[in-house]
Amino acid sequence: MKATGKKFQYTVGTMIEVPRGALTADEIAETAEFFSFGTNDLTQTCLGMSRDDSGSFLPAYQGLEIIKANPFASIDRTGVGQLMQIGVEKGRKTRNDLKIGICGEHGGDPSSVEFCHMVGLNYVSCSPFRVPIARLAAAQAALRNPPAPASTKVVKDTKSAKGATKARTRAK
Amino acid sequence: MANKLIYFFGKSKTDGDGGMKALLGGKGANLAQMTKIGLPVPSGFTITTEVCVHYYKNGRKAPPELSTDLEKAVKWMEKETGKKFGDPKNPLLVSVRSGARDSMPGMMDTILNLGLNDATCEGLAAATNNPRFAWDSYRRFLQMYGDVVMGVQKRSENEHEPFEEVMDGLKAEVKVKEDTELTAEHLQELVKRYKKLIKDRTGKAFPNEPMKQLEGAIFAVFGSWMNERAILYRQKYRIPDEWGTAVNVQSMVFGNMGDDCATGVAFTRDPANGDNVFYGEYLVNAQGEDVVAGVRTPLKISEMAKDKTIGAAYKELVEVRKTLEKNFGDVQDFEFTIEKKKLYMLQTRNGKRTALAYVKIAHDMVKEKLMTPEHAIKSGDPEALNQLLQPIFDTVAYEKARKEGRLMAVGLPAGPGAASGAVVFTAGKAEELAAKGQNVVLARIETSPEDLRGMIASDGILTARGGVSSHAALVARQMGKVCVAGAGDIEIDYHKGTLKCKGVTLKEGDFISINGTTGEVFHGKIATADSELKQVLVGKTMKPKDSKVFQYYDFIMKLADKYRTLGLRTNADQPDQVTNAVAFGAEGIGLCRTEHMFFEGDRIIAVRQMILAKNEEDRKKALATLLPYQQKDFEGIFRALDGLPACIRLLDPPLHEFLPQHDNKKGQEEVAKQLGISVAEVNRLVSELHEFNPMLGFRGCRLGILRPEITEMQARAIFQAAVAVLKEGTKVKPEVMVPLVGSSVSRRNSTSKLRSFIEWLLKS
Repeated sequence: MKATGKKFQYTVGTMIEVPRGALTADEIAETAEFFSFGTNDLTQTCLGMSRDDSGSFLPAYQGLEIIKANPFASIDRTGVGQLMQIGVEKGRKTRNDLKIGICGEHGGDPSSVEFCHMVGLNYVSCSPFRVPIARLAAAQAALRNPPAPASTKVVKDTKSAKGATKARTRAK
Repeated sequence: MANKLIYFFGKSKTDGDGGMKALLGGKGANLAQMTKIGLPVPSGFTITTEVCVHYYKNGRKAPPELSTDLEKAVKWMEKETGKKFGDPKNPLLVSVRSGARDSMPGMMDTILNLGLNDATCEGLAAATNNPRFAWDSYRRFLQMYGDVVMGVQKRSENEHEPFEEVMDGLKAEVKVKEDTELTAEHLQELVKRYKKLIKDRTGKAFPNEPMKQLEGAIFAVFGSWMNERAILYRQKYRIPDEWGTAVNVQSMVFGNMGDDCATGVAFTRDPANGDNVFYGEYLVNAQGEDVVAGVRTPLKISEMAKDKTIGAAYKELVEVRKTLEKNFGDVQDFEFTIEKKKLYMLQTRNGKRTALAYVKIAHDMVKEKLMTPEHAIKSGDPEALNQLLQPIFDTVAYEKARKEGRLMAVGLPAGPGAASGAVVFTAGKAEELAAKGQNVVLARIETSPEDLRGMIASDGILTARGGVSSHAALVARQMGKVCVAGAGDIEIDYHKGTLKCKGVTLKEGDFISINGTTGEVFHGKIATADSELKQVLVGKTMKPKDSKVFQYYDFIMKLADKYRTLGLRTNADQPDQVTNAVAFGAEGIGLCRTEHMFFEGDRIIAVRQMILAKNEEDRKKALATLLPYQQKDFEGIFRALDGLPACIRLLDPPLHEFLPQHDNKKGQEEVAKQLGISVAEVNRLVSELHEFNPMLGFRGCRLGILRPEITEMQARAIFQAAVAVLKEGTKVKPEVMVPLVGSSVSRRNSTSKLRSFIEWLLKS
């Protein structure tokens, strides 16, 4: 590539959408500079439930209260959520400035957005027309969960991108 | 139980306040608050939600001290009102109502006029000098008590309401049509028959003793927390079963003692459009349920000002409206009764409202310093903001279509909004008609990535199969397309080019209208209107300063930005999607799926050549054809992002998704022609790539590891695009994401290897 004389940052990271990825996040973070939870697949693989085939039993399961909410719409906090939590903790143990987001359909679901806030993700991502929904839900999550005097500080995506991550900068 | 079971509200003392919603329920807390700030509230008491929780934790048994506490509470009320339970001369009558932490309108039971029996009814008749009113109140009480507490209800769908049946029988005997034509004597007879009905059905006599009545009513309210409709409501609105309900016992006031009485409901502002106008309705000489039941048509609240008898109460109501907003810091939805010209407040709560009303009211009330900014954010329903984005059916045209019986089917509401246009069954036809400027609704049994361009061209998408997470629904959400998915009743025949449902057959080109907010499918045309917000942010056909709706929305969004700590990104893989998302507030791309780009135009041919290549050399040749396409895609995205980060996922899906399957003979023939091989060869290759469980098959980083040339081509495309756009003076921030990573082995093979390749690429 020809030199432009200008600089830009780039990062290489991994999508976390199988349980093993979350469970071995400390190892994966050795080379990944960011994580993004693919919660559609993570839900399928964690629950052993195919999203496209769940229509035949999920409504009945909800009726029987075996499952309270559709896990493909709202993050199953106890199961899938636990994997996310492990992924966040282990990942940041290796790389404390690891930038973590979510890019499954859940990123536009208010309850899931709140969960992402609670486990300390840096950002949520959703389809363009759900951005206003996530925007309001993220503000509500912050107001409902006032910061505990914990050591882990959540840094906004845009802010962290400026300096916190060790993105390599190259001269072109 | 260690805690206090009962909280009083009245002239002499008020124990609770508006902040105690968890303990006293919304209604109880607000009654206490209204009493505290000096509004005219009939006195009473609230049994806490903890009692209800205890009741369910202990096999439907109340705490033992409840009955003595209840007696004390009634004694206190008697002192407060100067009336007595069971006193024939001056009887204390009460209402018993549920009240959960969050309002659940109409879901649980209410009992009015409790305390009436044969003796107190006579007393009420004498005291009011109105025997008809007294006996009418009594029969209403018997009806509610019999239904709610003693369970005298219809036993099957075919039965009439038992109390209604008895009343209708009497009306026929005495030859009257309307309830209001029944005299005091008739009503006295009705009371007798109601009591007999209760005895016949339950084997138990209706309890005369007011204290017994009260206990029965309280347990019935607790019981109604677990009735079917309350459970369903809680599921829908995610209210935990564990909260329980409080019970409010309040002295009765009557809006039905004559023409100097009235009852009504009102909102402090318009809950439909948010306008700062007093909004409500009332009925003269009526009890609460008459307003809701719709038997008589209520009058607009402003009409009350002109009423010579109760006009003074209207002035008071106007003051109440101000007081409420000031004290509760939000729009209030309240109930009131005027008894002999005197105004009483029966309840107040935050008013439910449309998304439009939400943004306008929040904007206005924060500016008026009536609402805190925190409450403005907390009180919104994020999901409802969708209403502001979607085109809508023209209200008149929509109602007309319903009345004309044009509703054909109902599917899943997968992409909210309304679309009306010519029905087509192929993506190609959709593009063709759309290019001619026609409105099109694409109807498919189900959609696949191959239909994408047709879907983009269509105004709406209708599928017969698939759920809210089907391809059609996903695309609809990503593009803000109107979509009804999985409308199982419709039959689509691709060969004949027809869509059939309920005896109606539509041919290609016939008009169809779909409502993605409700899932309704209509035949024929229904006029639509674009939402203002979309006109400002997406179409840019309207200036922000010309749209009030946009200004209200923008105010709320900027306010939200002050509080949120989470960053916001979007899932997008096309420049216009990025532009839209950024207009809505996205700060970058969180997921750019590269596989969608493989379907665009002719490049699918090169993709197929790449997949079917027999050796690395052929594969590289095919990839070389793809490179400039991908690079151009990424350039477009980087430009649209203008320096915001782009998280780009390397190719993820299994390769067979790019090939026409065995059931698509025509597609296979096409591929054979494109690639210059036989159909049998295509067929064989498709079989070879077949997977039993593609989701867990050869996909994600597995592809990148075993077919590194794909990853290399994509990395090349990303970074050549980055450098090209950077040269134009636009900043770039690529983030390359490796999918389906599950082990440190694949990590070394994918992430690290990828990084070395990128480093090499950037150096060279």
